Amino acid sequence: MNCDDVRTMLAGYADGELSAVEREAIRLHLDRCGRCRALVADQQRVQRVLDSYVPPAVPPERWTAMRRRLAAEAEGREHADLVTRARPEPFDFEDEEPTGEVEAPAARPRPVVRRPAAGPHAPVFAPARVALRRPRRRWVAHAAGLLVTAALVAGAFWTAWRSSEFDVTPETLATQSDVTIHGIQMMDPAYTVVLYAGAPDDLAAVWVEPLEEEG
Amino acid sequence: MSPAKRKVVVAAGALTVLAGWAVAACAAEAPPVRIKVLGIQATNEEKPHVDAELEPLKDSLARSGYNSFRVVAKQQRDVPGGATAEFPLVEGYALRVEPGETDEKNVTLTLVWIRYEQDARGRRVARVLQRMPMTIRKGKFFVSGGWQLKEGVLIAAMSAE
Repeated sequence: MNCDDVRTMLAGYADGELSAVEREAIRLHLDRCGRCRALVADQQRVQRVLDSYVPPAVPPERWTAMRRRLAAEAEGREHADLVTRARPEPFDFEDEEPTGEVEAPAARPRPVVRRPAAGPHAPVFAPARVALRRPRRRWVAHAAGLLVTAALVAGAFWTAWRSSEFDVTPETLATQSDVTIHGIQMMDPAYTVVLYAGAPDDLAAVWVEPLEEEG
Repeated sequence: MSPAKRKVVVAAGALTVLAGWAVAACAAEAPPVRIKVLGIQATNEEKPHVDAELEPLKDSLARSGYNSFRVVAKQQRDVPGGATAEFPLVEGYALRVEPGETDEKNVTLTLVWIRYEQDARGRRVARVLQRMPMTIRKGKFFVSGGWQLKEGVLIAAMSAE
């Protein structure tokens, strides 16, 4: 289980919705991954802030309308279908008729929820968006990375192919008349120049030969 | 890092790599001097061997006193005037070419034989073996070498155009 897997499941982990096996896998990952631990700590901090959040007063008719809509949504859908939805239809609060029924805000809002929540402030569909966007971004990033890599590899092959495309033939060999050597500096005392002159039509070449050690 | 920032960083990185590659490719397209280097290992063997692509040069190479010749490196590179290009060969040897002035027929350059070795501290250092300032007819291969390898010697044919 890698960091990406764990992060997509952290909300469920925090909510206690995961199986024992999944929880154990995440716990093992958190034991050895400081970044994910930090993420959990962040989430817990956010949770604490949200816990201390007092929801503003909302007109009662809106709670009722929203509850009705949620119930209608939940009727025709399985939980899994809800979780994998790409983009929920936005609620249109203005269309709802006030009923006069008053209902107090119930559960505390949670930042991430994996099931249809009945709470008034729960961002019911937010997890579905998160769960879908991440893989898509990852897919795009992988595709872009592959393209760039393929381009670089192709460029390297092309450069290597170009760099080896030449021949040395007798006609292209320089003779003494083709070359003027302005001087030779030998920096290695172990060698000496053994050939540096010839007829104008002779091969232009400079050879070195190792000096024999004295004694 | 947030996903949005990561996306921007990835895009910027990819653009930088592509831009660098494009600039390098453009620079390589229109340089003043194209340098070609062929590295040849010359040995004496009971059964003489000459690589097929060296067959046309067999007579010339035979003057080195060896009977077997193998291509060990083959490179070409476009080098701007005043810049330096280094062509790695084998066993730490390299040929460094420093093109200078050019005219219609000739190229003036300095050919430097170097060898990379490890110093007492184990660092890789370049030791200059030989420097040869010269003027050479464009497209003609100048032959130079004789540097000892574990087996045989190293020869290089170099041209500029």
